Amino acid sequence: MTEASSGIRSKPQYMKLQHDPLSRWNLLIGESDGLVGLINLLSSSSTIKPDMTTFLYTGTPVEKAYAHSYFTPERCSKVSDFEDKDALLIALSEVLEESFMGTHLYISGSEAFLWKVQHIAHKCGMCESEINLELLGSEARCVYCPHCETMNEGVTTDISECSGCNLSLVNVDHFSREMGAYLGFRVDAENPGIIPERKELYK
Amino acid sequence: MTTMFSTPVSVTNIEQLTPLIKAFTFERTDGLAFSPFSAGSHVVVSMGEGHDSHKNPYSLVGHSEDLKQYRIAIRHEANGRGGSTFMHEQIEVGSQLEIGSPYNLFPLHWLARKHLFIAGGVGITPFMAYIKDMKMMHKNFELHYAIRNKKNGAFVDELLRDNSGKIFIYSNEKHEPLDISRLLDKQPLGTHVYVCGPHQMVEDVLRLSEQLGWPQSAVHSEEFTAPDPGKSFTVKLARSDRKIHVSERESLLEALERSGLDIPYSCRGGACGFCKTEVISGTPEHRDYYLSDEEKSSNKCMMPCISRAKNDDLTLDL
Repeated sequence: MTEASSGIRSKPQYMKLQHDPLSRWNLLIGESDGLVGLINLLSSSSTIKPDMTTFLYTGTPVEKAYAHSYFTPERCSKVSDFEDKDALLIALSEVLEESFMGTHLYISGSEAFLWKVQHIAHKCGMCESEINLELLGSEARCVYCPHCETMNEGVTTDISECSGCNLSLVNVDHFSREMGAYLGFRVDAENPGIIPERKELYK
Repeated sequence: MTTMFSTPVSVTNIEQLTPLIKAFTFERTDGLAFSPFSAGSHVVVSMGEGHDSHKNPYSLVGHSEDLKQYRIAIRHEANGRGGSTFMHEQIEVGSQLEIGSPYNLFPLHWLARKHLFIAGGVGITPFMAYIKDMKMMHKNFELHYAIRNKKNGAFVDELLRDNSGKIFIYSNEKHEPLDISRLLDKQPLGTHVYVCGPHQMVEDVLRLSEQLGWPQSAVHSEEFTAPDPGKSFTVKLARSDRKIHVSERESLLEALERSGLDIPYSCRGGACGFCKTEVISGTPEHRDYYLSDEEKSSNKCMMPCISRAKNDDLTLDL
């Protein structure tokens, strides 16, 4: 992951997952469409050792079945799938508690998912160079409202109503890695009552 | 620059910690308290005069709680450049010296979930302050301390009195080698490693941690390297239109100071970046750890505390 070459520096730029040859244990974490990124990672790298690799995944039953058909014991020794994201994140915390220095994370999925996983990894003391992110799937944003401190999930428009204080927020590219959220602020702060028409920007 | 301020101090206590290591305790001659410092900080001690003058950095071993005094430990390097010999042979209780303000190039990283300290020989000094912080803040830490034998290990008795179960001492004499590879092999996620000791030990930790997949940001090292001697050379100073001779055993920084120039400095070992000096022409022989490879190959700047010149064509913007 690098910073944007132009525009707002804090807006994350995502790249295709690539195996770091210095990563000893590989923890592959995916959600729905992110499966493709993890399959590409595994198929493009000859340095990943199956017995040093763990795969945690959540998606639809069809996606899970496909994941199991690819992540066979010859490719990856530990494979688990989960009912939903929350169950995956709980399991991830447990795995990280038992993990050692030399473990690198490879995460693929929607933007909101990437940063939820990243947040847990940070809490376990991991740093940015140990964590690799590839965005595959929904770009719907988490938007933080600084007026009432509410985190609004799944925002797909440039202007959205805060679920906490009902103000209309314009969301901008300023991104907090700590919160995994973009900044929103009151769109009619200067001209109360004048709310521009909202546009669908993120799917 | 604050690190340049010198404070006159008197030596109030000297302890012979081992046959080669002495601890010196200082108090300010004006009776005031020293400034607080963070664990891992060093001070530069100015000693002697004229050709027998030295400025050497030493880690503060005490704790910031007691600011009436500062304490350092110095190993006598018989084949060194003379600073440690001066301290060991000429300094006694009541001697007057000058020391600079503390500066920290080896700070603790408080976000780490575990702190792994690896010390070799006199490299134990910064960790003595670290450990006090760790215990006070109830942090998860381990100290692994390699010594030649009990007689030659500084602070061993004090460390052996500790009953936290977090301090491990390895004595060469007893054939208990410190296996760095094994130590780094299975550390929990979120561990930061800190090493201070002989060059080979620092190199081993840096190399093995990389091989084992540790991120660079979790690996911290400190080595106080005295400038190695080299060929003598002459340097031109463009702004003051002067030529200065640097002898084999002195550093460029020392030669500049001898000529009356006041260059900012802190570590005097090529690590902190304070003495960075612009090069107008010529080719420095870079020996520092501070400049990037690109900066070094551009030859537009250099660290005079440790780097030298390959020949007499060096011109500095001074």
